Amino acid sequence: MTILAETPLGDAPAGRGYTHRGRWLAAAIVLLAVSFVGGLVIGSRDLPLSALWAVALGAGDVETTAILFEQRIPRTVIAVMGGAALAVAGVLIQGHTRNPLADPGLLGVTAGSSLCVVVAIAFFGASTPAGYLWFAFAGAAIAAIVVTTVGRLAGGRRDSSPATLVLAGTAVSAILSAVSGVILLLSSSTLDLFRFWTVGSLSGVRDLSVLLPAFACIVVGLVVAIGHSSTLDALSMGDDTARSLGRNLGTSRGVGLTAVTLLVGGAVACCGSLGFVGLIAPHAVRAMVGPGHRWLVPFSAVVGGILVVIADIIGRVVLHPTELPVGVVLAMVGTPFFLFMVVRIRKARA
Amino acid sequence: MPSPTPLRRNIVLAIASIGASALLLSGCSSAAAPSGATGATRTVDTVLGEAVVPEQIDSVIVLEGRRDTDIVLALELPLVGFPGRDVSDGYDIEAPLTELLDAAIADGAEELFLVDEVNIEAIAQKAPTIVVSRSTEIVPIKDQLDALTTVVAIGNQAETTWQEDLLTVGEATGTTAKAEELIAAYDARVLEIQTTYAEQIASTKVVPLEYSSEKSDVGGGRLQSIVLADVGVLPAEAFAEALSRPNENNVEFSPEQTLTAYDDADAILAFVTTAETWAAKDKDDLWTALPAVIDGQVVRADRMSHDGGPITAMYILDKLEELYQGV
Repeated sequence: MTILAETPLGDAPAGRGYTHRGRWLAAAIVLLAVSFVGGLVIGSRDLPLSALWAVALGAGDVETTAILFEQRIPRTVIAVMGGAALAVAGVLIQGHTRNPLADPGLLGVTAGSSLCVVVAIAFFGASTPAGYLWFAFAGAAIAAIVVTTVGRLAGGRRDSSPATLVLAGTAVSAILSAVSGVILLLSSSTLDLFRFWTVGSLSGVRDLSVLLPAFACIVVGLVVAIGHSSTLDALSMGDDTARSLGRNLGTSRGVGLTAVTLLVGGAVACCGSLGFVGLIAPHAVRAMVGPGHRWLVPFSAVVGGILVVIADIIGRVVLHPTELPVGVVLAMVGTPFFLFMVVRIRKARA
Repeated sequence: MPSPTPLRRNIVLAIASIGASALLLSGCSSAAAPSGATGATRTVDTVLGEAVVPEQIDSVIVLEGRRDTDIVLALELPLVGFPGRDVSDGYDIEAPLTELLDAAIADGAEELFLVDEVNIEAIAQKAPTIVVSRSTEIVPIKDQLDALTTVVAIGNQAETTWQEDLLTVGEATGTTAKAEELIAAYDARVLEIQTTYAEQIASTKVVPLEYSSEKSDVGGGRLQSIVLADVGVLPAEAFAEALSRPNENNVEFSPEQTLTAYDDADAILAFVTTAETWAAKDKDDLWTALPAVIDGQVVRADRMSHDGGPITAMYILDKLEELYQGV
């Protein structure tokens, strides 16, 4: 049906074997480590490496210590976690909908998070990430439940087909976005605060301990997604084939959407609404290791983390002395990539 | 012809009701006819050209909510409508205009719309003698406002000083003497502070900055900066840079640069609007490492004092005096 199922499941593209994929994964992990170090070393305030090293030895000055521990380490950790979560959520959604251009926004999960954050700002006075945290997560969960329910009702059976899921997600997204729009229209100050959240930003002093619940959700979501890999492989061959392979479609969709909710809810609570990660990372990884989800899921997590960390580093230096939000950098890279994907997929189908 | 079904009847009734409501509403709107400049008038030059203003000012509406409201309240004009502040703005400290605005509300003034969301129908309903506001708010709806009432446009920060705007509105409303009195009071207060705190002014580097979790910035065109410059404060480096380009963007710094940007400041006038942000700054080690913060030389205001007229200017002088008293 789509290019996701064109290559035999679990295999890399022709000529690419286990060693080949292992090398790519090792390279990606090294790049993640390098970009993580880059996230600690590069910033809008120039700090000499000697000063950073002094901090590592416990003899750093106040400024370097504060920048490192209150800003660079937290934001880099958040970038890795958020990027990994959104990338894997993209893999799950693309697998369940068998739509290569699907991303976490397609199932209404992001719109649900956004609406609840708007409500938190407008009616509960939240103005910091700690204040948004549970609202973002609750929004993602509510939207996922509504989409699943509507998808099932529309499908008229125990499980929702990919088409009904996408339609339900689109409709629910439209409604939630409209409600968010009304609230934002009536409250310009909410729009001001929401603007920062919706573009995705990692700047400012972040208390990682506040975000631990979100990290826990992401970790659980990643574990569920990895365990869900073989089901995704089965689903990519079509519902009937998956059923004949012994998969319960209703349960599979439920597990998949639960993982997506945990991942997206956790990610948006940490770093706002970052677009395109769930689209770019899985496709880049497929080009390297093929469509088998056993590799695709963990590999996408690593690449998603790399993407967001590098985008954040670019955002820190490109408008010196101020910063460009990471979401804006991702959008600038993601939009051309999305268009490239559309053209590539059309050519592949032709 | 078959008789209409109940559903059709309901639809027809609904349409008829909507039509009737629309007619009623339009009737309400047209009832609030433009007051026009009938009878004796004054002619005044504004930033948007000449305005013919009735001599008798019975009611005034403002659109922006800071400089225009400040001037109208300071001149003791009969304010009947003003823009409301969104509750979710989270204003934590009392604004300079709160007391006088409360008094105006007690006299019948009403919040007609939210800031930046001017409602023409609400203005028409009030049929004010004049509308006073910044040109920025007036220009997009000038034709509609002109059809309703007389518009007295004042400038924005880049166009005119608050003193010039005060005199414009004073001339338009026959309160020039009061306007001159307010300006003289401000000048006298500036002189008083310059005299009383001459030593502190000469030795204390000051920066008026806005702080948030995402960034901090200093605006050279903000009213606080203008008032501080009037007093002749010794500017910290970031403030000096902002003053050198008052009509350009604010001088912004990322959170990582908080310490380097303001470490030369001996005293900080900090504009922090919400209680949450004010509390969060204490967890920012770069903020708490600032010499001015360590010495306790920080006085708080909020974004409501970024712009204004004589009342807000005097409020900023109060804050500055509070700052120098602690030095």
